[in-house]
Amino acid sequence: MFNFSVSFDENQIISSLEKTKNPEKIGGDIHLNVDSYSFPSDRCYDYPVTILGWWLENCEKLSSGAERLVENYFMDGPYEFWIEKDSDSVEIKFFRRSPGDDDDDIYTEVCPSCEIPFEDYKKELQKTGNRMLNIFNENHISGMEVDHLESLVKRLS
Amino acid sequence: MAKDFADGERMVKRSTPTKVDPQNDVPQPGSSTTPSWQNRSYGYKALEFDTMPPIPQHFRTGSGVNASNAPQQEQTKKADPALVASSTLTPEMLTGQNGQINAAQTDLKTQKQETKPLDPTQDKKKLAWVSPLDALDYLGLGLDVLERAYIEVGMKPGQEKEFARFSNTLYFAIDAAMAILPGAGGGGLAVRASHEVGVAAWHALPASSKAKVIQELAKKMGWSATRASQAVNVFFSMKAGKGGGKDGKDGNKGGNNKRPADLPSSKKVKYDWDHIFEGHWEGTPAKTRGNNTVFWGLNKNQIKAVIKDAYKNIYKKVQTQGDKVRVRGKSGKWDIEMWVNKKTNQIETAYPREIKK
Repeated sequence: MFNFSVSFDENQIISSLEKTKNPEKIGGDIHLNVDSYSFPSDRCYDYPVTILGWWLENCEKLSSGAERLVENYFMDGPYEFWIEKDSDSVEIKFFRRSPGDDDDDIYTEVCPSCEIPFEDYKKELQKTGNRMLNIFNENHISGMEVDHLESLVKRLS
Repeated sequence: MAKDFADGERMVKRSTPTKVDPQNDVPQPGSSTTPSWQNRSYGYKALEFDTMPPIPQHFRTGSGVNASNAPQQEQTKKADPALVASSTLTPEMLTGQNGQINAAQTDLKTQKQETKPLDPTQDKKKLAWVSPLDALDYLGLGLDVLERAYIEVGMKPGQEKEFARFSNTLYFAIDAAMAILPGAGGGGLAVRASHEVGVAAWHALPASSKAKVIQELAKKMGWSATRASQAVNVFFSMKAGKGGGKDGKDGNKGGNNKRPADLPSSKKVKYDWDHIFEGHWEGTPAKTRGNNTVFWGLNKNQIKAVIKDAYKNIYKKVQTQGDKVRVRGKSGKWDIEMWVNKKTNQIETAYPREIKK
């Protein structure tokens, strides 16, 4: 069984909140861990709130059966991970895009794919979303972005 | 289901990403960002309805409707300029029995008019289509290009009406010439669909037809044939999208004719420099920026210049996520991906596609 988790730097988010009160504009580390691998790396500066929102939306599509395969993106680098749902489990593949011929991307798997139960994947995203929401609540941050994140997390419950 | 991972990497090639919106990969017709004439600073004045010649509806709207099937509405003096500009012109009026341009029937009422200032907000009922800028917007010309055309055609400040009459007359004459030209496809009114089509039509006309157009133009405008010839050549030498801006690259329509129409122009777009530097400037501590792709060897000002240039040279719209669009642009050796927020008109991040140090 693989150990899948999402990490982000709470301190970086808090310090970023001091510069901007708009959660969508917060920059900070967010990355995935699969066993001993980190994707894209163990530090990856991005827009955590925005991309977590995208991942949650895609998870909802998988959950509802609207999609079987979704592509989850990072904003600050040529990285994405694909989730393919197969009954109760998902296979996760991790890619880096690089320029190929004729504007096509070459997709390179940069760490081993893994298979985990869909429920575990969903709960991990929910847990990450709730951790972010707690930070916003503790720092009295509200607004549309926070509401949106909250509704995404709730919808997955 | 997990795969072996023997060499650390497996190569997978995928063609075009699935979420590309090819319709927006090219600028859409009529998407000019030309501001309305009311905002012009050089004192353009609206003219009174009574002074204007009848203008076909297709010319007003740019819909490309042929005169033969254009709705024939009575002219009214209502405030709606589209109604005011309804056509009373038919192909029969454009050509005589022997196929010559019928000057009498295409008379554009060229009598001199007072050009007293008119306040559009106070005198809407008298307001009609008069602005050469509005008139030519749908031709695909940017405002800067139009201004240049205005000057190079030899118009002086305050002669906007004359410029409008010139462009009207010129296109009417070309339409008429094409209408009688064997193999030209009849009415030819579609040349107004875009300036570039007009240019192509002009160059495709045989010399004898060009001479007739110039003769007609000279007659209607009260110009010498030489003046008319020069004006036509200058007018059709104007090209949208090139040389429009101060830098000679980025006019209203261009500098980048591949920028998707739904993205802000390079003049309007804003940049989240703090975020970009935090994530992709080599001077940012690795602890902060992590393993992101970096603009190696560039200082902050150079990064700014490269990203701004790449935005002007977008060559592909890759995907859309809500209000955010991922695009690619190039600046010199740098191949850059950018996320543009259409709602805020901001480039939220930009990074080199390749990881090369």
